[in-house]
Amino acid sequence: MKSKKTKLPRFASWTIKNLLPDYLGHTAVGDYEEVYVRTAEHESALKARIWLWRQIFSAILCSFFWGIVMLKSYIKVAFRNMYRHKGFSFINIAGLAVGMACAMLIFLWVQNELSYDRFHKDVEDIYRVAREVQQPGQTYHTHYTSAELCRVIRDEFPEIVAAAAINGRPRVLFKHGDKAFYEGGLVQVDTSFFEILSFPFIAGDSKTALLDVDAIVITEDIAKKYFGDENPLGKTLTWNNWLDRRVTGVIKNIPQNSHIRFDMVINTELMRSSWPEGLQWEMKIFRTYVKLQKGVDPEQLGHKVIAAIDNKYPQHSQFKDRIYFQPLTQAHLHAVGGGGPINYVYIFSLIALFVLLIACINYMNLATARSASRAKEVGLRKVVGSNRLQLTKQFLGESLFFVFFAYLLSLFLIKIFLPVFNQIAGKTITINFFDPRFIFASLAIVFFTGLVAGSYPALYLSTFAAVQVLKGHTSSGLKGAAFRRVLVVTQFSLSVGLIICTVVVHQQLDFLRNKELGFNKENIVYIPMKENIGKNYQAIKNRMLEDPNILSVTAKDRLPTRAFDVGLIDWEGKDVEQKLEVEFPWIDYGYFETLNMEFIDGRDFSKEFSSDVRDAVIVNEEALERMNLKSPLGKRITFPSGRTSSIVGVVKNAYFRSRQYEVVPEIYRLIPDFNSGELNLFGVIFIKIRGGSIKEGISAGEDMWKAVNPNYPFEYHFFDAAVDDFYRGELKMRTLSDYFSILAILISCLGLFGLASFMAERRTKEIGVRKVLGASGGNIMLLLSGEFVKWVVFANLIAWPAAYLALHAWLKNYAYRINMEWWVFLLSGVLALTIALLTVSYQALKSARTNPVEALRYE
Amino acid sequence: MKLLTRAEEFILLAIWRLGEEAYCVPILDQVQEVSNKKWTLGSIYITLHRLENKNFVESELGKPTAERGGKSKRFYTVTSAGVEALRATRMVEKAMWDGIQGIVYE
Repeated sequence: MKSKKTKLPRFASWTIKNLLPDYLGHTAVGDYEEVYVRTAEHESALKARIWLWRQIFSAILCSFFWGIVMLKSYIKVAFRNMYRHKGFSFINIAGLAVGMACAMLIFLWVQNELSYDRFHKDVEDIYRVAREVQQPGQTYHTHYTSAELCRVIRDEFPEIVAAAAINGRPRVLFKHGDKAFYEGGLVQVDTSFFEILSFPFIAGDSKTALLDVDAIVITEDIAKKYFGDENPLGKTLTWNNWLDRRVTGVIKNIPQNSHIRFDMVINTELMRSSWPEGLQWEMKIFRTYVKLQKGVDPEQLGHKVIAAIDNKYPQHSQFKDRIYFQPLTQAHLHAVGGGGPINYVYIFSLIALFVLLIACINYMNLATARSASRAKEVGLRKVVGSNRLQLTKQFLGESLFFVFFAYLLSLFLIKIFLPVFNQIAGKTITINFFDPRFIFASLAIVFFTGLVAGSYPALYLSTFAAVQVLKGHTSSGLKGAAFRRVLVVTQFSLSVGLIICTVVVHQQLDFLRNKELGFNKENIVYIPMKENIGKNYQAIKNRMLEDPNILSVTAKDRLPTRAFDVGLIDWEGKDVEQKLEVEFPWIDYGYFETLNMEFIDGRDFSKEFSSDVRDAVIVNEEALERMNLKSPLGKRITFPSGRTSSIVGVVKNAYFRSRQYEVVPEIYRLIPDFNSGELNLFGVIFIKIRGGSIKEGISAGEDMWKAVNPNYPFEYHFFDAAVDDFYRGELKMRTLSDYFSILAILISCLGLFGLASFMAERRTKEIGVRKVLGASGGNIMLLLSGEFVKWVVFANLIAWPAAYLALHAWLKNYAYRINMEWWVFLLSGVLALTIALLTVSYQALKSARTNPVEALRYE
Repeated sequence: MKLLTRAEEFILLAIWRLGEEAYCVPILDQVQEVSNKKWTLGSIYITLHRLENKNFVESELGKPTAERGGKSKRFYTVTSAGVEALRATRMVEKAMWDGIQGIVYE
């Protein structure tokens, strides 16, 4: 008897238990089992099986039959209601559809953000090396490390399977045959790079591709650009007219959801011969990625690394930072040391939830407001035997039905607006309606919306007592109205909160962009330097200055918007404990003048002092403050290279980079040798052109360039565009959040409009009587809109402190921030109130102007 | 007066006849034998449920037995209201058949 046949299949017993009333479930399974076993023993197992499934099948069919009979009635009623109240149905469905479309767009965006870097094999074992730099008065995190550190940890720690440092290279001119392009996406990496990060190879072998010094790996697009349809393997690309690189591999284009971006890869070995200093411990210009053995705790490993460096490399101890490992999957969203784009993920998810909630509230509001007209139906259903559970199910089902309609509409909306959304968000999200994850997510949204929207009406309407309702005591009264008030207040609190946040975010970002930059970015063009330019720089400069449209020409070793190498310095009067990492830009005469940067102390570099080239430096305000010098002029500074120079001037802080972060301390030096390789690689020439004759100035520059450098195509960029680039990400987010808040407010108003018109309709008689008794149109308007005004004002009182707290937390992320002003809050409140009033008053006006006779004839 | 449906009548009589042993499986067997027709267990449950709601039968959970894998049986007994209903139904039937000839011969 213990054989398996004695047990019913799990599905069968599950069905029996669920179809029958609770008190029967357990014994019924026993009954079925008994007959099943008996049949199996007396006749055959097959017959028993057939018998069982026929029983189950007919039971299911039977239960469906009754379900369908009721469902038909529910659907019929739902349709009739929808049809009879076309306006409300439209408001409901449109609001829900827009809300759901927003939520789903945001879902797609969040999904895209969270998918970053997850395509790598064994991604959970891959980490990015980061370090915490502790300086007196300031601690910061960075993911820039040195190539030497990468070598040390790779050689010393068996827990690290592979480690590779990557570093962006300056723009390079590549040529193949008659095709020549400047390439900005060139990086140099260690040979094990592709062992750690599995960017898929189309051609070539990922293990051997980078072994040779002259190897280069390119992406599909680059291959197409230079070689067309030819096989790129083994072909050569000529680098800056002098070095041949051999294509050893082609990888797929870097997916949009990779935080590491490049088009071409070479081996770092090239640097060993051209610029060995760049590989030293102090040159923290690389990003290092490591693959750990399975099960290694990155935190402990970090401690081990720090301890090992202390012991084995005491010469590096003075540069000691706290080294730790950041999971690769966090590299995109989490800035080292906290913050980063993850905040946007949270903010947008919250907005999606709010918008959806507002749309749900509309539904609840309208559904309860309409309860009087549904009350009779409820009463009748109860009389013919519906119980409360059935009614609850009916109303929940009805809201699901509405939501499903809205869902279909929202799919349509998404299809239309996805390209626009992509453009604003800078993404290439595609939507596949049949992707199981999308189906799952959208079903989740449908059920969430349907259940939330339907919950209150279902619970509320199903409580009506049949007798009361049918006698005509539709007490659609106090409870419902109070609840509606709560809903409207919630809805408007959310809307006002969103308005305030939008305004403050705008203010903060505008403040960052327009805060006194400390330099002038207009009418300045920069030209990246190239080979030969260095040695001809003086000649070019002199010739350019002859042109009347060119006001000044200067040079810098790197674009000031780009992060620079940092190093430790020593100075007269330095505290022994103090450690200061600064940037040391190299500049030409006239740099500060060209960018209109002001001096607060001392003087600019000048040709009159011949010693300036070797012996003078200019510091910025920030550096001065950090060094804590009282009278800086004449004080000596010692550089890591051993050179010492004295300070001749102090220049005001200039905000070249995103002002989310503080200004970096800088110490400027004059370029001693215009022919150095470093300058040719990264250097830029700044040309200030007379306003209004930009074109002429640029073409003069181009002529000059062609005369000196026929091998290199001329390229130039506007400096203001480079500066504005820093805010592009934030501007995108700002535009997106603008749209979503506008939508949220719109949906709220849609709901309010529906509610107001419903109220007016319900009170038609009252309005008629009031008019007959002498109320003016104004009185009626006041009566109808006054109520809503009260709620909206109350909503403001809730929204203000909430928004204040949220924004306060957000503003803390910024080193330079605005103070929140009280008028923003007031203005947002007034704005919401005005919108609400406009919405309501349309309806109020309509009813105020109706002829009382019409009103009293109603019904 | 409440009349019983045919299914209710079948089942009530089966319970009466089975006495102490009236739980679903013997009831099913009994009903199938008498009506010479296949019934589903589900239809027995539905009818029993209805009868119970009308107070024509009472049910009681038996002790769990090992032969049914620890699942207990639910035993049914006919209440006095049930007996009353059976009696009434029988009388109506009898009145209907009274004096009818040429269909059945006893």
